[in-house]
Amino acid sequence: MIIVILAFSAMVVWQMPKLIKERRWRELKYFSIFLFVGFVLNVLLAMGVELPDPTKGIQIFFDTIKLHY
Amino acid sequence: MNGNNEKIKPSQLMVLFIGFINGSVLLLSLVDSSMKQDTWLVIISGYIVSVPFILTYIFLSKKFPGKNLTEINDIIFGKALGKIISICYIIFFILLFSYNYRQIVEFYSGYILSDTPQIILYITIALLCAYAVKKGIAAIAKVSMYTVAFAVFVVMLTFILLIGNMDFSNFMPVFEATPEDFIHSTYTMACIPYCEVICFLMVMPYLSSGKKLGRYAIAGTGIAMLFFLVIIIQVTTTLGPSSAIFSEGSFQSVRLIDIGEFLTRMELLVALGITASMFIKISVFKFAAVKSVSHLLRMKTYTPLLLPMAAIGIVTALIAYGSTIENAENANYHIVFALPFEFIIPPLSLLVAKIRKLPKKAGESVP
Repeated sequence: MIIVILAFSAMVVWQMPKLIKERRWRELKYFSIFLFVGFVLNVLLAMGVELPDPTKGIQIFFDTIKLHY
Repeated sequence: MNGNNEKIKPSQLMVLFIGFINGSVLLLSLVDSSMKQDTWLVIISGYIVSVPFILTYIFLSKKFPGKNLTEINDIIFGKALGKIISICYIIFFILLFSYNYRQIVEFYSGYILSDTPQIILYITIALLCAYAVKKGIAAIAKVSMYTVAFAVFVVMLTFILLIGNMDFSNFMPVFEATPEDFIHSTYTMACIPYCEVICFLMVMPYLSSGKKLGRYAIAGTGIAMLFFLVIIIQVTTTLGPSSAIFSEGSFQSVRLIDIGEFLTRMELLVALGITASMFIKISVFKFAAVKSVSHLLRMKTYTPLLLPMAAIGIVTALIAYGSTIENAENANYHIVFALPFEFIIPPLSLLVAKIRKLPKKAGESVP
């Protein structure tokens, strides 16, 4: 958990001042959104929460429509 | 310095194709387990099946020069449907680079750095690829020249050193696989190593010239196919039927090298070659993913997305399929999942472009 917080803090410190200084608000907005999504996912994983496996989703979909090898 | 807009030559693209396709060398075991001594056949048949589709990708990029995949989707299918298709492609690219993170980390933690925590390996490879993508596709193309040269050197060296251990009767009996296995494996080869070059539609606008692009693309894929053939000949002749049970045959076969009891442990060279090739493959996928996202969100540069996407990719890789065996099972679903992205949408795009008489010249309105 500490590693996750440190890593994401480093990303913020490294990227945000540059984007603010250059007034790239659109880039800043999407950087923040993606960073937030990445942070939440990493924190949940670090806390031991079982996240849904995307490959299982794909498998269930193709099993439902009976299309797989 | 950020080399986002540097151009690459078609010949560099060819080398990038070779490096990219070589990055799938670990996946040869997927077809080796069912085709056994006939694996060499599906390497060739997979290539033959892929050629028309790769040419479709090239025709698309030539029809819309300077446009990337997301722009092409917008032009052909309209803003709304084009964006939906582009989002699907983005998910596809993110999943692909995540799966490749997972593969290289599993390879390292299984064979080389078994005591190192996997998360350290994930962070290392993610940062390395993010740095490469930050430097731009031209930098990746330049690096690919060295990685391809190194991979060719390693394959040739190990092939020569293993000649004494080779037993060509291991290829017998030929054509033993069932037609179903042959078709399935051919499709797997076409889908996973060869037609994944669909992501190069995000790279095409960076080409300095479109001349002889098709030839370079087909030649690049062909050289990668020859590279696979040499590896599979080495694996089949040295390991025999047991090659089907190893998940990394090329690595296992090199462990047999023992010349005068001093020229041993050559597998580390192979590991370096695999790492270099996978680095190129992951970097290109990552480039395609972040470039698509940044274009879709109308961002001026993709660099702010590199680290957040790396973090999302690591989580996806960590939660995807449980084990190497589950990976093999997942591959059977993945090849169906990849079907529209590699084999249906690109030819359909060409067809729709033809029907709608696209691209329109300046001043004409789109029907």
